[in-house]
Amino acid sequence: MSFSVADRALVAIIGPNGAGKTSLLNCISGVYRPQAGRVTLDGEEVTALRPHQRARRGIARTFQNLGLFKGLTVLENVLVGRHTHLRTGVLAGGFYLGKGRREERAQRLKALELLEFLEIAEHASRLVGTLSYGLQKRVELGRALALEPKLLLLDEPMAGMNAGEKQKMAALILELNVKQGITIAMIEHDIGVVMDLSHRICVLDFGEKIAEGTPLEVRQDPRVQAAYLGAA
Amino acid sequence: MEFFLQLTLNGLVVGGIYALVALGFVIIFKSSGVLNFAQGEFLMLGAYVSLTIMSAFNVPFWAAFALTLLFSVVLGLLLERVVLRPMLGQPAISVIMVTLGLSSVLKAVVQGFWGTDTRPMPAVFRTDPVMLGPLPVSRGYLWSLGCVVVLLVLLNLFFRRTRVGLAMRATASSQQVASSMGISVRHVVALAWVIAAAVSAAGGMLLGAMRGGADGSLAFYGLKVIPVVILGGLDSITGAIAGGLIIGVLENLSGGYLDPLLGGGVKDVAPFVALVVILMIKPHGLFGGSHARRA
Repeated sequence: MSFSVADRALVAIIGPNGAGKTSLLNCISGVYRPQAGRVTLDGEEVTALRPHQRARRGIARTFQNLGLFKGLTVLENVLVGRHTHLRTGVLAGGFYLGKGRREERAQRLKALELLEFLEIAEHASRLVGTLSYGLQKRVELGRALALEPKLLLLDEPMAGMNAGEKQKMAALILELNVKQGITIAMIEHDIGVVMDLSHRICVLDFGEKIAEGTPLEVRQDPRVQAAYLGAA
Repeated sequence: MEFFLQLTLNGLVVGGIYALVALGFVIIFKSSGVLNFAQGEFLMLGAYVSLTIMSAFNVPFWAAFALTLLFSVVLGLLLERVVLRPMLGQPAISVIMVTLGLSSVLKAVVQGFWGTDTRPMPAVFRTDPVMLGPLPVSRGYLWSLGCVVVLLVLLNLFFRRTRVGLAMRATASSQQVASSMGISVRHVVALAWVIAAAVSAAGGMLLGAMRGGADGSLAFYGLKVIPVVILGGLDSITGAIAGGLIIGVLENLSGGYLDPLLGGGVKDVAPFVALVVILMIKPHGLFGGSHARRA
């Protein structure tokens, strides 16, 4: 199969359980090395790169069942996301001297701004494991944003959320895509959200792409209806 | 009372060194899931290297201390690159066996280089004691305790306040997620070995300076640290420090009070007795397990 996300686009990946949606995301972020095929970012081939190298080139992601660092605070989690933007080497950065110290403060401010944008600044110093699920999801989004990604991969950003939280998350994602121009590929099961937010939708089933197009086209595709929406 | 205080203080001094070595052990375990059985050899090597630097170049202890730390950093990097990196992706148990082999090799190298006799260390501290109230305390002990405290504070600062320290904590929490944040897990593991080698060498130098010499028995500190880390919780840095101090004090108190009654040897057994008792009450150690906050 072939799959691409245009610059500044918001593409949703949908499909039944076990269709290979998360595997696709893992191939893009480098967790999996595909047996065949290539992954390119801005025309540059990244297939051979390890995950941290891809992150440095601007691919950020969230995880399906939360991939937060549980023993770290909210602020620290987001600061880890700033990792690729810190320049001091092991020595200065390691020993908290002069430049390293100034930079550390500047990064802390940046991270706090991000938390404010996500409206979770008041929880900054709490351990992330003590927050509600919806808030944890937002922290994880914040951590991915801290990378200042070119391409943001979201694995079910709204799973397990209540209606209010979902609405808020949807508004955030839209704002990121429209106002900040971040390219987004998102796996999501909530069809309403998917139809409302995405420019294009890619439908997977048993590891194959069975349809791709605008929400309207996909909704009318008979194979999609058969495989996924359940309408015979 | 004076006897009790003396024993407690001695226990804290030795316990501080246990804490340092245990810290190295825990850092490697947290970042890569490997138990490093060569930790005691790092310590022994540190003592030998520092005494050789002192006698060969006739430099003061602090300079030898710094140079030995530098040596350990290089050693840690080298070992990680040559011995451990090729084991990447192998089951943890295989890597643990490799560290056992490493400990034998290092021991043999030390014996080949320095022989098996005790090597005297040039006098580092003045021998007249400092009076803490009524308690005469050797200067070496105070210096050692001071060094340990400074090192522990620096390490704590490193883990809490720096990007690299934060990256190490993130990796300890989840390697996969950390790498998706742009952190090179290999670099973190290499750094863990560097820190472990350096803190152990620091412990070895302090022990050597206090005892006035180095010999093969220093490697046993690597084994002593095992009850320390299990007591504190294998994945807890706070636990390593607390465990080190507890075992150190316990060892000295039990040795001081029970040895005369039981005819000796209690000192070596006491940590393990305490370990069994504590594990019956807290199976994950004092600070370990899934509910503990990772330091």
